[in-house]
Amino acid sequence: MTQFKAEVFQNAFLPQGAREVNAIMTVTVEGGAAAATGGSGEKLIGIICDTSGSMDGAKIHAARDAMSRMITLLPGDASFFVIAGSETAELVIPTVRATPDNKLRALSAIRQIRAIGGTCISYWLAKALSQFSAAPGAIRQALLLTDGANEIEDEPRLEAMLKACEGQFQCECRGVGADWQVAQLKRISSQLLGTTDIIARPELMEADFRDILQRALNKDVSDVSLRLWTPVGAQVKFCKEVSPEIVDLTTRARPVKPQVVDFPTGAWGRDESRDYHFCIEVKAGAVGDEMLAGRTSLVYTQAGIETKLADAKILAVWTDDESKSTRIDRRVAHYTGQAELAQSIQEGMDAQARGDEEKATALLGRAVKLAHDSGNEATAKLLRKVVEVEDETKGTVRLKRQVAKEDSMALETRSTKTTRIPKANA
Amino acid sequence: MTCPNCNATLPETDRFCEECGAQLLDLSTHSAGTGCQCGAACETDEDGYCTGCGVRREAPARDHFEVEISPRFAGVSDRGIRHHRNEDCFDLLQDSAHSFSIVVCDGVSSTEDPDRASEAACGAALAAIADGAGLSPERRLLSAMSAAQTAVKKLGSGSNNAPATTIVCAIATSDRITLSWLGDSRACWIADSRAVQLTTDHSWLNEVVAAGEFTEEAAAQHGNAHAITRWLGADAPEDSKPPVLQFEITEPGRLLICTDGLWNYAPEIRILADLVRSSGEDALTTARNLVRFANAQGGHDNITAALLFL
Repeated sequence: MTQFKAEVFQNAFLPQGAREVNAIMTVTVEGGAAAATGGSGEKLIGIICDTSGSMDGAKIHAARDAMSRMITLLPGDASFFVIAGSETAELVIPTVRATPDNKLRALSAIRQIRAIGGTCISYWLAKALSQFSAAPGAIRQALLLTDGANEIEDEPRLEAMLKACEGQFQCECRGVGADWQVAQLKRISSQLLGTTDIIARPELMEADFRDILQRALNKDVSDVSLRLWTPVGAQVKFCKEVSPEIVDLTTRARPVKPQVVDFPTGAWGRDESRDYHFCIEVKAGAVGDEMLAGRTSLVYTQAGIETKLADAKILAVWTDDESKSTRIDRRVAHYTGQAELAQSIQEGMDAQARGDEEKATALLGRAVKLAHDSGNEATAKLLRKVVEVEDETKGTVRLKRQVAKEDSMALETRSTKTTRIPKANA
Repeated sequence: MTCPNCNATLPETDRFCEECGAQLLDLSTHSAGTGCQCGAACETDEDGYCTGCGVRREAPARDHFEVEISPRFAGVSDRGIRHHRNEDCFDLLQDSAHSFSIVVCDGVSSTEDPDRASEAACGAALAAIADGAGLSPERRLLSAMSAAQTAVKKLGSGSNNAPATTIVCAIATSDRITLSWLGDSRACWIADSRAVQLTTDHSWLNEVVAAGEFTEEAAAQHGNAHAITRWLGADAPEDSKPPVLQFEITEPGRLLICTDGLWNYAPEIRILADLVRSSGEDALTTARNLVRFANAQGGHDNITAALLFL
C-alpha cells in the first residue's frame, strides 16, 4: 500500500537543566502520494517567461525552444498556460488542456514572442495567480524564467504579491546567464516552495525545463502541511527542511490553535523523501522526567476536510547519565554541519564581494572541509571552481584570482543543497 | 556529607554512597522527576503524555511487567529507579507438562535502541524455540540464538552503535536444564543444600582473570569490569557461536535467570540463594521479592528475574 511515513531521529536524553531539543524527521512517500490522500490528480503547469529586452538574441530563441519542447511533452490530461513577462504581463495562452490542437496553437503563439521592455515580476505573478486560483484542487506548478534583476520600483509590489501567491501555487525559478540576482529569485522560490537554479548557457535550458516538468508531473498531492504540536510555554527555535535542500520554514508557521502550528510543504510525489530539522526550546524537566517536546504530523486538507497522513513524536528525557546526554544523534550532527556549510559559503561569498579576502578564505576553507567531511561532492565541486584547494581535510584554500561569474552564482544558488548521511554509515 | 549507613565521607552532590551503595536522597522525587503539574486543566493523550506540558503521565506498560504461567513458573521485569525506561525483556513458555523455556535479554544501554534490541531478540528466540518442538533442546536453543541474532541485526547494521543485547535461553525438563547465552545475564540453580551459577559471564573481567592478566580483585576495580565481550547485534564479534551447557538435575531446586540489574547487588550467589529460599513456594512472589530487593539497594539498572521451581 502506498503511504506517507514519518520517522524521527534524535537523542532524546538531555542533561539536567537543558532546554533545547533537536530532532530530524524523515518523511517518505512509499509509492504514489495520491493513493494515500485521494487527491484529484489534476495538474496545471504555468510557464512564465521573461521577455524583457535583455532576453533578445540567443536567450529568447532558447527560451522559445525550451517552452515549445515542454509543451510538446505535456500529457493530454494536464492543463497549461503561458505568460510573457516584461514591465507588464501578457497571457499568451490562457489555461487550456494539453490536447494536440491546443498544443499546436500554443507553439505558434510562442513563435511570435518578442523580447522587449523591462522587468516587473509582480505583474507576472499576478497574472499567474489569476490562472491558478481557478484550479484550486489541482497540483499547481509554475516555472519562472528570467535573465535580469527586477526593477527597483516593482519591489514593494513584488513583496505584497508574494504574500498573495503563497499557498496558491508553487514556483520553480531559473536564472539564465549571470545578470540576475540570486537573492531575489531565491526569495520568490522559497516563499512559493520551489527551488532556484542557474542556467549558465541558453542551450542548457531545454534539458532543465524537461527535468522540472518531469518532477511536476510526478507530484500527485498538493497543499500538504507539516503540523507541529508543542507543550505549553515551548518555543520553536527553528523548523527547516534540510534535505534535499535547506529551506528555513520557521517564519512560515501558521497558527492553527494554541500550541499547534502548520508549516507549508507544498506538493508531494511518488517515492519522494525529505528531511526536516526541528529545534524546540522547552521548559526544563527534572532528572527522570520524560516529556513530549513535539508531535509532528503531515496534514492534507481538501474541501475543508483534514486528513492526517503520518505522525511522529519528538521526546525529551532528562538524565544525569552523561554517557547518554552527551551523545549527539548523527543525523542531527550531519544536518547541523550541512547548515553550517551553506552558511559558510554564503558569508564567504559576501566577504569576498566586500573585498575581505582573509575572512573569505577562512570561511570558504571551512566550507571545503565541511563539504569533504560530509561527502557533499556536488558542493565540493562547485567550491573548487572558486577556490584552489590545498588540503580539503584541513580546509586550507586560496581564493582564485579569475572566477567566472556563472561559477560563483552557481555556488551561491546551490549552496543550500544538502547530502544525506552517506549510505556506508546509514 | 557522610553516609548515614556506613559513615563514609562523600561529595555533597552524590546520591548514592560509593562505599556501601546506600541511597542518600529521596529517589521517589529525584529519579521519577517532578512530573506533570498541570492537574485537571489538561488531558492525557493517547500515548500517555499531558496535552498541556507534554510530561509523561502514565508509565509505559514495559516499565514493569510480569508473566505467570503457573505458581512454579513466573517472572518480573522492572525499570528500576535510575533508568528512565526498561531495556530488559523476558518471556516464558511451557509447551508440555515437563518442558519449560525461558528467554531473558538485557539491551546494551550504550547502543542505539537497546529496548528494541532486547524485545526483538526475546520474541524471535522464544518463537524459534516454540517452532522447534520435537527437536533436541540443544538444537532448539541454537536455532533460537540464531533467530535472535538475525532479529537484532535487522534493527540496525551500519552504525558503529548498532542495537545490541545480552541473552540467556533455557529449556528445562524434569531431569535436565539446557542453556545457551551471550553476555552477562545469568542462570543459577538454587537447591536447598547448594547454589551454583550455571552461566559464565562473557565479561572483560572474566577474560582478563582467566588470561592471568589481572587478579580478580584488581579487575573488579577496573573501569572495564562490567564491559561485556559477547552479545547479540550487527556488530557482535564474528566468532559468536554461543556456548551451550547441559545441567543434570539431581535434586529439587529453583532455576533463576536474571539480568545484572539484580545480580550487581548480589555478586555472590549466596545472597541471591538466601533471598530465593526465604521467599516461599510461589515463583511470582519470589521474582517480585528479588526486584524489590534490587530497587531497595538503589535500582541502578533495569531488573529482570525469571524463576522455575523444579
